[in-house]
Amino acid sequence: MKSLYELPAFVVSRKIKEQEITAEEYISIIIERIKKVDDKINSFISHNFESALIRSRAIDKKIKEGINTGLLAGIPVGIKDNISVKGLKNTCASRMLAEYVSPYNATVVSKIEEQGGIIIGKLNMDEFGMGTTSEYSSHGPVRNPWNLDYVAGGSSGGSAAAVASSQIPLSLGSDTGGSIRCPSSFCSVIGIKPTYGSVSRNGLISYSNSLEQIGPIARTIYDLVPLLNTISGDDPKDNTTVHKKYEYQTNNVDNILKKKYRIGVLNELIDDSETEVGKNTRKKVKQLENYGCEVEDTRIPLSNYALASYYVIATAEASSNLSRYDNLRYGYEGSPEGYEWNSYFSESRSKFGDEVKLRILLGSYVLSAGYYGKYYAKAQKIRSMIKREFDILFNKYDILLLPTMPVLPFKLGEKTLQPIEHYNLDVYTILANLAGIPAISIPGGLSEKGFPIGVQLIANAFNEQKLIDAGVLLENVDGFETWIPKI
Amino acid sequence: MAKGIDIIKLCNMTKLEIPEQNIPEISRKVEEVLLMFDKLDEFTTEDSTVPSIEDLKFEMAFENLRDDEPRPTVESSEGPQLKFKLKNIKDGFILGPRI
Repeated sequence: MKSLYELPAFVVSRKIKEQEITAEEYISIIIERIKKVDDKINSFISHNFESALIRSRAIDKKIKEGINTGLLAGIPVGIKDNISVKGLKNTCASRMLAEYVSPYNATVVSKIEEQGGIIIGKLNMDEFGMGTTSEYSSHGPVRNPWNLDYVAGGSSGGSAAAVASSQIPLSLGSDTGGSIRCPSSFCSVIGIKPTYGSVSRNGLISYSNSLEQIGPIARTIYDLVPLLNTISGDDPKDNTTVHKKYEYQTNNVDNILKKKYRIGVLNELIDDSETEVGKNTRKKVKQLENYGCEVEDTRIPLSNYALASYYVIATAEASSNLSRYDNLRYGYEGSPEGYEWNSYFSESRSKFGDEVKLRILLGSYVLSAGYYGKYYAKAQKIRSMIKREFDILFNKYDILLLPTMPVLPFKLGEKTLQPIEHYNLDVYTILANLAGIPAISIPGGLSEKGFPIGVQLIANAFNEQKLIDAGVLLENVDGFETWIPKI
Repeated sequence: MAKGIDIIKLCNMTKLEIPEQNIPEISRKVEEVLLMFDKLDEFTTEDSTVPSIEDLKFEMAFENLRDDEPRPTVESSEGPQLKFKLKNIKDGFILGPRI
């Protein structure tokens, strides 16, 4: 019989609501699990155990009194450490914000609490979200639960690893160029980057505003959907949110099959991947074809320019966003008395890690007067044209299919010294960020040596339902929610 | 184009302190990435199936702009709850360096 911590959140939440178990019992089990396992994985930066227990008792009381407790009643949710939770440290895995305590809740956190969810702690990540492995963290690297010597992916590595290792059933990550989908693929969980503007970014510490989105990570599509429904929707504190609330559903297979989805397969990108990644991705294509989906090969002609465009825009926005860290308004203990402004500013900013410094330098360079037209303006033009290419493809297809990552998880430390090698890993995930469209990573199988492989599905803006439907089909045939690493 | 960047000047502009012994390595990394950015120079509109950016039409129908409905100011209702725990305070003032 499965332990409570292994069960999907929607099953446990039902048990809590039907008073089969109490929320307090469940949270206590989750806390024990985290204490037992996380020393090996390093997925948490800070814990919120005491408040979580207090909140669980309040939820039990509400249930006993017959008061509605919401979609996530009694369910613990981990939050990436760049999303603000009132009263908790919000370090962004950076020494620069090591002592910073958030004075307010991000909108997504308030929404989770309104639905009865319980914030259990803050999760490890690459510093300010800048990385693809979760190794660039002042808190140390996140380890992959499938093999502790390997990277968990990033930047939301803690969010994916904590869910994969059954410490928590649900977490939030943020995705600027694949930061939810990459670790989801490397850890064999489901992660979705919603359409730009469908989830509030209020309270997310900005790295690249025009590219990033908050999104959920779960072990099963049936847990992912309630959390996505909880966090999505209009927010007056974020002017980029759309004035419409989308409600997503986990439809049954028969109803999904009636929709006769047309799938465009990005064949060139599958061919460019490692052999086992390509092989598994083709298996997924076959599975969808067997379900009666129409499948056809296609391509995105401008994808060759996507990586350069993405990194020009992301570093430009990062250099602007991170200029606010001067250790006056937020920061660490350190008296500025006696310093001259420029030297104090420079010294404070030496707390940034090397990768963050590199991206600030690059961003400032591409925005400088002499190079603005050469880099930034051209990158934005190409971005618009890539979006237009997607519009054309979505006239023909409902969903595009490709691998999430071109490679299998690799050993810790293997790629940290080579920036280009590192940036090239993002080549399949950045497309959806440049176009502002939704994309999901779904577990696609395990390699011969037992490493997870993710398959990525992309849909047109506000068509998350199509991705969820495809997720239901693939989960139904594979039962990937039962693939759990032994730890 | 990417060769010979004055990395020290760039560090001064961005207010980043980088130890002298790390300058060669960071210069190498910056140049390597800028070389990748130079890929953008190869771009021509012939690479794409879509019309050039100048020919793109706006898809939004401007007569459908949403109504300008006044809403309560966020700051007025939530401002007093925000209490920043600032570091480096003296006699009620935030300490800062000399300008």
